[in-house]
Amino acid sequence: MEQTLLSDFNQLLKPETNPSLKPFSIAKSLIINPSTSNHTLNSIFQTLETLITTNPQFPYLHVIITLLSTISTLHHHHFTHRITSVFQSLSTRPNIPPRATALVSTFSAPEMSEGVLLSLCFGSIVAVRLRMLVDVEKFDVRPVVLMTVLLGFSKDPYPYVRKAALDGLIGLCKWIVVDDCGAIKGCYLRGVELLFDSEECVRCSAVNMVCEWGKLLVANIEDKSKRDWSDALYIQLCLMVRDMSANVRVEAFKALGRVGMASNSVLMQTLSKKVLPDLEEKKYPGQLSANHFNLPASSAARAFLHGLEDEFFEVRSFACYSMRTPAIVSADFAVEALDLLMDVLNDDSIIVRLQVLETMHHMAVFGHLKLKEMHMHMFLGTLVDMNSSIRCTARKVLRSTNLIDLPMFKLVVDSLIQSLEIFPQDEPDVLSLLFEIGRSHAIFAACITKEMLLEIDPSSESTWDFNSSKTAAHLALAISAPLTYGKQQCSYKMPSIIFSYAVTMLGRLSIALNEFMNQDTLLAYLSHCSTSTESDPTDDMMVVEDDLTSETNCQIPVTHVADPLEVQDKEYSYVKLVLANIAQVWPLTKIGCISELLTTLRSWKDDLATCFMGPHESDSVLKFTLQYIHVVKLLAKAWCHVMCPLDIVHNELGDLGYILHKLEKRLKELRFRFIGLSKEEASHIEELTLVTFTLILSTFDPHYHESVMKKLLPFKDTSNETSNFVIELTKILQKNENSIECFRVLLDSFSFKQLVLRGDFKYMKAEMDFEKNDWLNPFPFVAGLPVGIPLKIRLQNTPIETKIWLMMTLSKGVNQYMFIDLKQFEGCDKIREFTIIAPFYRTPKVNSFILRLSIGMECLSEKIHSFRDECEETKWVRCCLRDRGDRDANLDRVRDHRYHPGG
Amino acid sequence: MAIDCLVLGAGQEVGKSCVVVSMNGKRIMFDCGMHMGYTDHHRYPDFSLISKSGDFDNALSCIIITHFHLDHIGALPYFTEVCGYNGPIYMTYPTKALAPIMLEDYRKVMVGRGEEQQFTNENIVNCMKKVTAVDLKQTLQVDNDLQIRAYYAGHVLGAAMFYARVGDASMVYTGDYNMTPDRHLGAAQIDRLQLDLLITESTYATTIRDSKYAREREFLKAVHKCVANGGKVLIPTFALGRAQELCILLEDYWERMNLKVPIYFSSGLTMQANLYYKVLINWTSQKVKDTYATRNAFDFKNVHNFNRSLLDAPGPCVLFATPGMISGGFSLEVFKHWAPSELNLITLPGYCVAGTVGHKLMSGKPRKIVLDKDTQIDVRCQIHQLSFSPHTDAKGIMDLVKFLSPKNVILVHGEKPNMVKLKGKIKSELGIQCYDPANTETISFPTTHFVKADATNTFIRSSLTPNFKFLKDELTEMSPVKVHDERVSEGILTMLPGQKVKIVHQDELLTIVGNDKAEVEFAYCFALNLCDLKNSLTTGDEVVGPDDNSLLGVLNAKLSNEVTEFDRQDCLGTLKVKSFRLAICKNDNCPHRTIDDGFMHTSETIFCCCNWSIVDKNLAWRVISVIKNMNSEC
Repeated sequence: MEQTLLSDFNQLLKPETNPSLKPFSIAKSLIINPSTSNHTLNSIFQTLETLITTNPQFPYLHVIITLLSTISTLHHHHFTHRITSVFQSLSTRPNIPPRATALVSTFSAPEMSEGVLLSLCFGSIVAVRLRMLVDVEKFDVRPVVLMTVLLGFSKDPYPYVRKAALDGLIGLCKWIVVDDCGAIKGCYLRGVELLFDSEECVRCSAVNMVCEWGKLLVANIEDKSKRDWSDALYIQLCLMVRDMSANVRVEAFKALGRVGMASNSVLMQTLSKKVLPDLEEKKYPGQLSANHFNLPASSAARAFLHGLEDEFFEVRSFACYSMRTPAIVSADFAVEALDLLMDVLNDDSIIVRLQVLETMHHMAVFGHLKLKEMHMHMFLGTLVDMNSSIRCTARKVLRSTNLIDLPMFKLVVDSLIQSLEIFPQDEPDVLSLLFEIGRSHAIFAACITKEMLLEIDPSSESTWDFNSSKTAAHLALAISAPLTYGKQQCSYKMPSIIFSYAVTMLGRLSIALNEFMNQDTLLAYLSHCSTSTESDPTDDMMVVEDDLTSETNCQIPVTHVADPLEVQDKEYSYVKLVLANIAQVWPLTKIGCISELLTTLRSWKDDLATCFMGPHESDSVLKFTLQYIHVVKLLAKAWCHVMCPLDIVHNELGDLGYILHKLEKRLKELRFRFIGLSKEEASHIEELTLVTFTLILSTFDPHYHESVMKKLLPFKDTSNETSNFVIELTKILQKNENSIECFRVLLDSFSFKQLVLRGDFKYMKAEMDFEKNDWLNPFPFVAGLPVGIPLKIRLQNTPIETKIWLMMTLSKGVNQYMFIDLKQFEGCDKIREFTIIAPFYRTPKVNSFILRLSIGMECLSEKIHSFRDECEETKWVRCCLRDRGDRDANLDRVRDHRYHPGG
Repeated sequence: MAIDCLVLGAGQEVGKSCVVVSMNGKRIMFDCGMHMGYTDHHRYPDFSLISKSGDFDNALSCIIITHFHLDHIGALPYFTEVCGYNGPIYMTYPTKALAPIMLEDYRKVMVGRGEEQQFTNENIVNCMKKVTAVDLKQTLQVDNDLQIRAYYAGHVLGAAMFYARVGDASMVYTGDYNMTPDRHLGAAQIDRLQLDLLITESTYATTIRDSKYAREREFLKAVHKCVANGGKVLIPTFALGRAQELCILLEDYWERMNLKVPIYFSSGLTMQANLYYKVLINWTSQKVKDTYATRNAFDFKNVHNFNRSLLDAPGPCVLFATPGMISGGFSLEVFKHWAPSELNLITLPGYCVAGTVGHKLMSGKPRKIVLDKDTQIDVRCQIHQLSFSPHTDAKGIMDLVKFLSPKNVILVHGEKPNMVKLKGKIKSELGIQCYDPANTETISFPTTHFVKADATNTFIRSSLTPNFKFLKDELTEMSPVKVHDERVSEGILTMLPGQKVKIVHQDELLTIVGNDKAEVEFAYCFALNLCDLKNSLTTGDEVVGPDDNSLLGVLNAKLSNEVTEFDRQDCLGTLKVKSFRLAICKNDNCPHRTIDDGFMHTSETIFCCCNWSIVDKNLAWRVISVIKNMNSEC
């Protein structure tokens, strides 16, 4: 068969026959058949090569080239050399066919491909140039060369070449490392210049290019002009939302969504028609029009308004989308934006309305959704929208909304019931929503239930339909109140009759509430509440409560004993004993009995741990003591290293640098993670810290010297010192001596003092939970777009002023920090639970990656002014994310993530 | 070459839009409107200014009508049939369809008022026969040199902005336009063009409107409140445009709120107009086009024809009546009936011409309206002023000017004080020359002048191939890295006596001039104001008259401070820095002189003529910029 076809092919290509396409289709079928022998391929290649080289006027030249490139892509290792020679013979012709460029990408030698790219680009045929630029990423060209070439062609007279050059620059920006700010600025400004191009397609690419390079530029600027450049970028993009082409406007809003942030005043300007006073005179680097070179801040005026009023729903939708990040960043912006968004709910396009609700949901999650009376009419209208996804999203918004007063709450409940009557298919979701808002607004729920009770009272001849969805809704609301998130649970006692009614609707309710509790728990809860007439239902509610907490975010009441040392004296006497003994055994280090000391400490530690098993597991005093013993262990090891370096045991102790580093860290934890330490306790820890520093300074590592000295310097002027060691240290510091010897001598003056605990302190604890996330159920993301990671965070004993940071580590050095403002979340210092969506912006262009999240606390010691650090690393959560493949930016819809402990 | 722009109407006023533009020998009349506020000869533009002899066919190349509003088309039948213009007329298809209805309606009103009839029905029909209809973005070659193209303008059905180009000169006349879409029409849309002139309307030269959503909400609230209380709502509108937009809005609302109150259209005219809208769906907004397949947005379910007997019928209703400004006709009649009741509501359009009842109602809250000496109307009803307007606001005008970045802007169709403010804003913020001529005034300015030149093969070949150069721009420091494509700047324009103008490649130059060594010299002659120089002069002990040498002395001193390469070379009458030489130019016809429009020419203006060789190119421009900056410092 193969032979027949081949001979047909050769036959048909005889010079005397009229050329037709037939032989080439035969050749193609042979080439793409994987079982065709090399010999046949060779022969075809030979024929094609002859045709192409001997007869430049051959009519089907482009077909031959296509065939050759198919050969080269399918079987390229056999033909690389010959393809190269064919190509060279082609490229010497005055008019090289653009298709021939497809052959180039198969060349193997990189240095050659660079040369070819350049020679073809600088040739006179525009189509070839365009082809090369479009495929520019396939070539192995040095970034510097590539950047120059692309920059140059961004001014080409042909618009599609300009566009290809800009697209190339966008690609370039993503994978090269440029640290030359000048070069970045140059590229950025060239992009800005092309925003005023006369061709729409160029402007579209220019918007993207300005966005990407602008972000790179802002990231690379280190001085105080950073803010200005970032604002300039935002305003520059805002300018493009008034472009006449809808495509450019869409791109502009997409880009604004990607950039996301600007300073507050600029953001406010985008909503206001008047030029804000603090921006009136402000000019930014950039371009206002084709020949106007600076950018007044007023250019940003009404950018979002224009977007929301646009004729094309795509633009309106992306305008909504791009408002998300600003609304999260700035609360003022969120308030103003909400007024606008409410009107957009009147839009005729479902996509736009949905996008508005999604944006509102984002605002709600970040606590920036402040619904007002005047909004309610419009917003609640969406609950009865004909479109089910709009209704669903509206309910999603309500779930995370805080309603400020009873009339508003009533309005919401009534609208929900109304929508339930119109759309009975929504029942489970509506009931579950009612249950949830009932729990978060227990007082209001209780009020409404009281009113309802009057209505359904059988004695009052009411015509209440006990089987209606309205009843189900009211019951879902009523039974939620005792399970409130708030503190004073007892105040929301519901009449037991309600629970009896609820039992009759067990089926309906349990379907709706299955994400909170299973049917058995629900039944237990309902029957308990319905029997215990006036007794406090909260006692047994704990059962339900615990069950609830395992699934939801609800708060666990923590039994707290005011003064543990006195009440449970038995256990704590052991702590006292241990602490006293540590001071006793410390001198063992001075005589070199390090292993004995360590054994003793270890046994104490084990004893303590067993002693405090059970209810005291999370006890602060125990935590402190265990940590303290650990510190002493480390200190002893370090001491031995420094003071008795010849001791044989020191080999088993591990690396000194490592020990010292760990010691420093543990001490810092002791100092900062326990809040409410007494003065004695604090100064004891401080002294140990100073000993550690002295130990560091008395080793030979010159690297440590600088930084440690810096940390020590603030102690120079301390006066009210109690210990000998500190007084000596202060003297040395004041004398400005820093020889290793003097520090070593100083260590001799250290004597370990007994620590007496007063025990008033609390252990600060943070937990982070990221649901259902493992290798099988990765969290989806769209490469290149920010991903929002929903985290449940639980903080114990954290004062409101604590500065909590979330660190997201992609790989070494690629960190992103997010400040968590505790003021935005409900709860008290003792326990604070909340859910946040942590946006991670720099998602890499990969299929999956692991992100390491950790919570840290910023500690600024009074004495060490300029020292800021994540002192506390509590929990590491590994989450693996995988590109879901679809381009849906709604990441928060995903439910399947499981907590995966690690770290 | 120059553009002359003669404003015959709508100069510093609203009404009778008419601008005659001459460029490169072609004369185009944009719009031919009438003023609704006058009944005398002021009603029409003064056509005699176009041609004294009345030979309009030769005086004008064509007439372009942007849309069917009477203040843009009202004088057209008069001009063609009475004044006898027979040349080509261009307008869009919808305008051609709707204009005769508007004109005929107006003619009837005139006759009804007992005024002298300016043109007959037959005139209108004949006039329309001369019209060539154009489509959007269709480029039309009027004659060999003149080409025109229409762009979507929003505003009303069929409204267009027109682009005209004669040779190298090009301009856009916007007519009325709207930059924000409304319920039934899209936003104006135009390409980024290279323009010498933009003539734009400026009805709202200083107003920046609130969001259209807020306007809609307020309107619906007012109407709903009125009908809920049993009142009647009178909505005086133009038959076309606002009526449809408001009706779509009300129809949506009626549907949503499940209202049963009847909505009436007063005359058959509006119903007929609705028909046109249904047909001309292609000219409406994106949304109407998108939903067209399922439902025509102009099929109003709740709308009925109004019957005169319903005028005093009890119960609430909403009525659309013409004309918009209650200047007469049916809306005035209804107004007479409904104004005395407190329950009723009259909505007023965003803009009313002075002299109409609408204008009286807008200015203050009159208790009584005196129509003539016999008729007085008590006004007790509520009044809601609509801020729906099919005109763009100040922000929109600025956005359009910014987008097009033309060399010059002329503002028409607005009120003078506001136009002056907008003019200032365009000048200061965008740096574009802007004018606001009054009626009958002519504005002229130069246009880009292109010279046809041959090019040598070497040059053409070199232009095909990119030729990158890297340069650091020391003057602006805008972007630190600059890659330039130098292929075009390698050409040199040569003008040899007796030969055609020709561009040669710089390498070819030597062979052409036939010398072994050739040096390219640049020359530049620019204007300088004396006032600031005088200031510098008077700082000395004595006040010296501005003789050339002392002037050069001042420049000399200035330069030695600012330019490092400068070393004092006192030659009489000239300044020298390396190859750069500067002298005071007394020759009024100096060939190197450039005309700088932004520059105020006074008696104190002197000209400096400089020349330099190519090696000192950068230096020369730096020196010139230093000298020019002395001007701006003053």
